[in-house]
Amino acid sequence: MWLQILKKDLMKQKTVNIILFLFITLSTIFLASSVNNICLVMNGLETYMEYANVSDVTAVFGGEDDKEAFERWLDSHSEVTEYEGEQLCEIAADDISTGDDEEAGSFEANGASLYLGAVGSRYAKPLDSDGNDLVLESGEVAVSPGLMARNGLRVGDELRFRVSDRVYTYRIAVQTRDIMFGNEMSGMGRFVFCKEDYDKMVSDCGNVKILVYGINTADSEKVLTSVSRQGFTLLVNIYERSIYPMLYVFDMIVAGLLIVIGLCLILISLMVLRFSLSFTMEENYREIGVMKAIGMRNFSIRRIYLVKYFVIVAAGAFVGFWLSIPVAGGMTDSVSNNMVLGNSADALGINAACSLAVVAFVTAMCVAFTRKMKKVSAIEAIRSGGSGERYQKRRGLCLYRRRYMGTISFLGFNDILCNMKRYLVLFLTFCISFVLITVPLNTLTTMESDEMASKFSLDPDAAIYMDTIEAAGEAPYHNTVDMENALRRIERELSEQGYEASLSVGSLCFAVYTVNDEGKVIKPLTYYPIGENGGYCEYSAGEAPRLENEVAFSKKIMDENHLEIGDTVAIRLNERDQKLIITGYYSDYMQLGESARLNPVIDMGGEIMTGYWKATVDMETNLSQQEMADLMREKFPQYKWVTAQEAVDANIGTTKDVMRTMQLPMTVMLCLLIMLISLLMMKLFIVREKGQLAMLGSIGWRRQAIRMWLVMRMVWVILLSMAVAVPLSMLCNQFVLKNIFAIMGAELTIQVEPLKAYLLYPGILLAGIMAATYFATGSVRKITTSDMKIAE
Amino acid sequence: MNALKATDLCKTYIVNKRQNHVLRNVNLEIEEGEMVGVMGPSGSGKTTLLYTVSGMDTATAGEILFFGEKMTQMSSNQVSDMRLSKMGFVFQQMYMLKNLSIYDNIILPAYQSASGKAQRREINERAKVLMAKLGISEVADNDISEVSGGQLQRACIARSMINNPKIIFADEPTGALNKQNSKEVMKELNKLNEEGTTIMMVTHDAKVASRCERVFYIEDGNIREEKNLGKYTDDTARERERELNNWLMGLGW
Repeated sequence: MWLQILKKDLMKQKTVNIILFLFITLSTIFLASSVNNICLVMNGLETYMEYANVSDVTAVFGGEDDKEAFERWLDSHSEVTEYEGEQLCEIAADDISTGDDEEAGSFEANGASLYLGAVGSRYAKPLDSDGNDLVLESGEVAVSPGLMARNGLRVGDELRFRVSDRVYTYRIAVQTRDIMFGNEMSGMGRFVFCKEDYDKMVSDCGNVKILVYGINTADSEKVLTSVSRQGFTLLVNIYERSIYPMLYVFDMIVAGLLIVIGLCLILISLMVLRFSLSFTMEENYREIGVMKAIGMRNFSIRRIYLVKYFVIVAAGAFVGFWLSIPVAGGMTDSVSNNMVLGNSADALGINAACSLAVVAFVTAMCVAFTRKMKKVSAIEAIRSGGSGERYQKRRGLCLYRRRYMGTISFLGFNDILCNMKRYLVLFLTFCISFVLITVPLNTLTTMESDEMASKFSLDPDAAIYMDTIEAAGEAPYHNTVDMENALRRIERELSEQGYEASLSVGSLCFAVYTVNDEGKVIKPLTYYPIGENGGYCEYSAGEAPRLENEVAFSKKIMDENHLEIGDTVAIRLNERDQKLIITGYYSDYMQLGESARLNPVIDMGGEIMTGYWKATVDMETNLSQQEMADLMREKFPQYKWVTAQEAVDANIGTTKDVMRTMQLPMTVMLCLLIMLISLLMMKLFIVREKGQLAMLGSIGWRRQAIRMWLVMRMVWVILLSMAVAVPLSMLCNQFVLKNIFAIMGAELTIQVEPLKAYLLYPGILLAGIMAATYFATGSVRKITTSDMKIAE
Repeated sequence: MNALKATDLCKTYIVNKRQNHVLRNVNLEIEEGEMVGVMGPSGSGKTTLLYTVSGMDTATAGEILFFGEKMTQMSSNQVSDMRLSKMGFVFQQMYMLKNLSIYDNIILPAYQSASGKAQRREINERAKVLMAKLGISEVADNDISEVSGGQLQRACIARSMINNPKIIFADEPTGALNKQNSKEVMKELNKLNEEGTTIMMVTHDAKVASRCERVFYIEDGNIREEKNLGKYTDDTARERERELNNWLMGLGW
């Protein structure tokens, strides 16, 4: 008997059952894929570092002269447990050409220092995309994704390397995941070969060979300080393991956004699931009452509904589980271009657990609902849970008092006020969706703003920037005199063509400072300005150092070392210590917020500089930076001209592209998701309200008017949620996005394009929701006067 | 003039691929200002006839003239507009929008067709007069769950009257009411009829039907016979009821 009732119920309430099935499937997909993605991304960097075997401390030497002394020091230092050095050979971008281009110099390195290396390194190993050690045959090379993307290369393409006047051709066999050199933030790039090929190319070449030491130690800070004090002249940089997360901070923006999206989707799916369940269960109240009235036992009635919902949830969760696998894969892929995150398919257990959780959740709700059923009498159930004695006062408005509102608009608004709980889920879903859409949009706007450029020490008002100032064929400059001469030379060249410009540049080195009386030593990236605008920086407090004994630090360094403006530090220059007074501090993204700025008059002539930041070109012009760049590229093709935005883009790597690529599919996906939710919800409402709709039709309301009434409800919900979403989005900018950007070492104001963020994109969502609702109301056409019997 | 004229009206439902002829070539004429009742056993097609001649349902065949206009040739929007402005409906169950007060439910059909403040003011005046006449002014701001069945049915009558309809279709208007409430509702309908409104009513109750001028007896989708009782007056109520009962008994009721 109960099986017959169950069969009839499944068939008769087909629409409601199908909607519930679809909601369960949707919820399972989003819950499973989001949890899977969050688990992978949260542990992503740690997993990547483990895969790559990153050492506690990494020391980089600009040559091999200090090798013996440094290894002797390492052997003698008790804190060092193990170490290994790896040789890499520097190669200029001009010495590399892509397969299609026989001309040397066609390779675009985005200003990064390029190195040749061999497989078999013990620390910071280059890996393949699955996290396995590289295996390369002779004639093969492995390249990082950033370099491949920048040069439009694919696996299978050929690269030509000119080393000591000999040209070697290699086929790209693998796209690497190179934790140390694979990220554009590091300013370095590596080509990996098999040991024989590397030795063949490098053994007797005259290129600079750098040494990278991976050191494991029980006390990283102690080793770091001790090495800095030893005065190894070729030591370019030394840093702890903790620097790696900073290198991947831009990748983590995407990851962070995906976590936010995942959390929102989980929230939406749980809300929608709970609502649709309780809504459909309420639908059964009357039938339960009738079954009770005819004498069916509670257990028999409970069994019908428990089996029914279990069948639906099991089917929905099963389908959702399988669909969640490609969705989770897609989410992870958008982050893992630069990293090894592990495989989402390996974490199938998470998807399975989430699917089971959905089954458990629905079953638990059903058990609770049917348990409640035991307590109500037959007649209470027939009255949909009411006793018939007490009625709740309506919360609605009065039609006759609304003078300026159309009847349809009024009815829509009044419905929301009367059934707030019913529309709350939709309201929250729309709210979250609006905020979700503004998050990547505002991130992109911020990345493309002047504010962002200034955080990279780029003056947005400069005429144009130069990526390199070396003349054709010249080696990279490593001292301030060469740099100054180059600036004057370029000024002359520009002047000869009628462009009166003033050039300046910030030269860079890693200077050693003693920052307190206990002798604490730091070695931050230090700016030495050459030229008028070489020290461009927006100071948060104090002012730029001008006199010979002045210096400024980034806020992060000031905070970490408890320094204040007016404090004195010592800098070791030309083999002697010099006292400097701190005149101000600033906040920028250079070296992830840890840098120093020297005054322009201090003598740096004897110091080896590691390089320079973009050269600023100031001149009187009405052209935009982009127009200027186009002009200069045409007039002076021997130099690399960049706009401030291009310089920022080069530093944030592929993150912006990933975001931009993500934005459209994400908007479409969100739009489709809320359209689907709106459509299914509206269908549910129509099933419940058939009686009222039929009554309106019978008294002469046109079907179009009835449909518009239903659409108007949704419009009101959307408008209300938009009104809440705008301040919510601002809060999100302040407390989520700002903090994500702050990981990079400096605070910045999140930039918003109000028309896009608060009008265009929500407008798209609004149109989508209205279209879906209108489509759902199509079923109104099928409602006849006989449906009046199905009164709520 | 004929308020309503149906000629060879047929209505067929297809249930499980089988044709169910609910109305078979029904012919009827209702004069303007007349009050007619439709009686018959369950499943005879009474309600279907009411819904079909009022345009709530479409006829399978035949012709319906509403004050001379061919309803069967009108578009669904035209029929809706006609129902909204020229017809009133009273159902057995007191269907109303649960999110509106009694007053708002009454003015809803008129507000839907109104444009402008002046018209709305006029509607409000009319609603107040109607409610006073039907004795439900004191429950105007109540929710539909806060009033008795009789009050609710009177509110439904007020709603059906708000657009000054030419005809009221009533489907078992007293079916869900007790004796006292039934009496009150029928009194109101008779009063409206006296004021010139044509009424077509479906009922099972001979006492209620005896208040009509004419009664049709429908069986197996066809009007079998009709009984002319003449204009209703309170003095002849018992006599009319007896006469109708005898007629019905003769028909096997």
